[in-house]
Amino acid sequence: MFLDLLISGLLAGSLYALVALGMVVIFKATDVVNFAQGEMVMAGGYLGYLFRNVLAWTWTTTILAVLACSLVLGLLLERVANRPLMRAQSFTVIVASIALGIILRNIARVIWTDEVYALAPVLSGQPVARLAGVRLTAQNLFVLLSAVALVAALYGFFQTKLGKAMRAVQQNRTGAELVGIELPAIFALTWGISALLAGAAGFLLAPLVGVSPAMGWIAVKAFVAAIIGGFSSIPGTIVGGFVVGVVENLAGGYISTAMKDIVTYAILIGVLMVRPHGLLGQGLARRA
Amino acid sequence: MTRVGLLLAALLAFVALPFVATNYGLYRLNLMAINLILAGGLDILTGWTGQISLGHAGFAAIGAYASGLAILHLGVPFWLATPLAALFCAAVSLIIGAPALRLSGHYLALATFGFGEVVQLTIVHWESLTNGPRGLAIPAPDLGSVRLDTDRSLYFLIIPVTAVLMRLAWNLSRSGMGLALLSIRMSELGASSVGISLPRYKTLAFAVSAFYAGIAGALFGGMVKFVEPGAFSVAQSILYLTMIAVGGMRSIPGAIIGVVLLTLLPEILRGLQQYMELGYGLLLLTFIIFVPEGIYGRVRRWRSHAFPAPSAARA
Repeated sequence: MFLDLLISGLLAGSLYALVALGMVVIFKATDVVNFAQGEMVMAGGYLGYLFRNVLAWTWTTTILAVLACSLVLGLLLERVANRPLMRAQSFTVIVASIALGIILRNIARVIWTDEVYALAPVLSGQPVARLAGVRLTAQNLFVLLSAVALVAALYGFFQTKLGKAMRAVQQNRTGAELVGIELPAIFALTWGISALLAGAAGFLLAPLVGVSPAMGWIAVKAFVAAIIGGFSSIPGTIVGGFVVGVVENLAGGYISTAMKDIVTYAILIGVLMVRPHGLLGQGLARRA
Repeated sequence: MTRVGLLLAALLAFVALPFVATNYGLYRLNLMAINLILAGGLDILTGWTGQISLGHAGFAAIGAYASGLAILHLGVPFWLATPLAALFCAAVSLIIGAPALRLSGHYLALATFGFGEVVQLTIVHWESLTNGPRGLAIPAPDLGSVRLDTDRSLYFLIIPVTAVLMRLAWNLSRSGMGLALLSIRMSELGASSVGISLPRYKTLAFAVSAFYAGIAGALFGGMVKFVEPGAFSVAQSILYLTMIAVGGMRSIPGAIIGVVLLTLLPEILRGLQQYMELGYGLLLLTFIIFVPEGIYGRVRRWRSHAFPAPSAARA
């Protein structure tokens, strides 16, 4: 029982961490919490369904296409809802992202209604490994390994020249401009990467919960994960994702299913009260 | 016309209206007034202080359930239950807001986002108290021996309460506190450098806006005599935000325009139900990017261009 809950918690947690990392990337570059992140996840789910179930592409093509389209979606959204507001107050940008989320969710709702579509898992749901008596399916391992691979790729990217330019913008926008870094390009890139992470998470999440406009709900869990990471630290955010996943599954299993969601908010309020800067890292609270 | 004349005309219109308007018209008017209380309260937080709340429907829910339950189970009279429920909302807002508002940035949006959901979940799952998703029947409000169970009688309660609350909000925005809040919105660093305590004023603004939402919720419960958790979703909270953004922040006429527009819009576009939320999203995005000052702000700017006042330095 305990180990089962722990494993499913870690599984959910890896997806929370992916979505949360997307939020942190945008926050660090643009100082804005993106409230449309959940809808980017949703888009990944629908894209996967479209390519795999409607167009019947192979898994490899589907995965590549989902990632590519998510990236393009990110660039597009940045152009529409962020670029015009580059010099606006962060208040304005946040409200714009809230509106963007509503728009994306309702476009999905108008086209596909509230129906939940089933996307088959990439790998079989048959147990392939046993870990201390708990069955692990190939799909479970695929989700976990994909999440790990994406996070590793993100780390790798931050070491490249482009990645360094992005970090420079995060640290000091004016300074970065002075040394010739193109702010608009970096912002577009940031949103692209963030949407890519979200789209991948949506594709991995879809077989677990089905594809529907309500998929964006995962963003709430990701918010909490990002807050645990202080909205700044990448390791902190990953830890945050796992903490949320495990705690909510344990609460759901041992107390009641109603507690599963409530406990997430308890963590949220708790972290804000006790460690507002996050468990690791400094967080946005220090900025003036 | 003189000020007194205007006031008299307004008073006359107020008394005459319920005898001309239909019941349904009055119901809609009452609903708009209740929304105005909520939107006006939210404006103190969002318009004046620059903080975002995504949980104001949650406060309305607490106001509606707290007053309803107090009337049902404790026998508290309506006139007492409403302000008590609103005070309870303000107290809850301190618990939610205090940790989030100690920090700069937009932690409040995150905290209230979660809060709105927790309130809904709690109402759904705490069935022994709230009757869960089936909803709670609330008796019609009464003032002493007068039962307010028609739209017309409710009108005579709700409109004056709204007027008083709007007047208080206006006074607040013109007071030293209003200036302090405005300075926080303009620059937190600047405000704190002249000795304005950011956590104190932000928390105060949040509590006042929660109080307004609580009153609105209690009046709403009394008016429809039935509350259910579905009426208080995060989407509803965002709708209030849209109202003040579209109408124009930091002004009561702006709030009125936004409330009237977004309360009537669903009625006008009744056949397009499935596009409604999409429309709200587009409206919010369009206004926040292209008309950030809102409809009233735009109108005021045109007017000051057409008839430039000698002291044009108004904010």
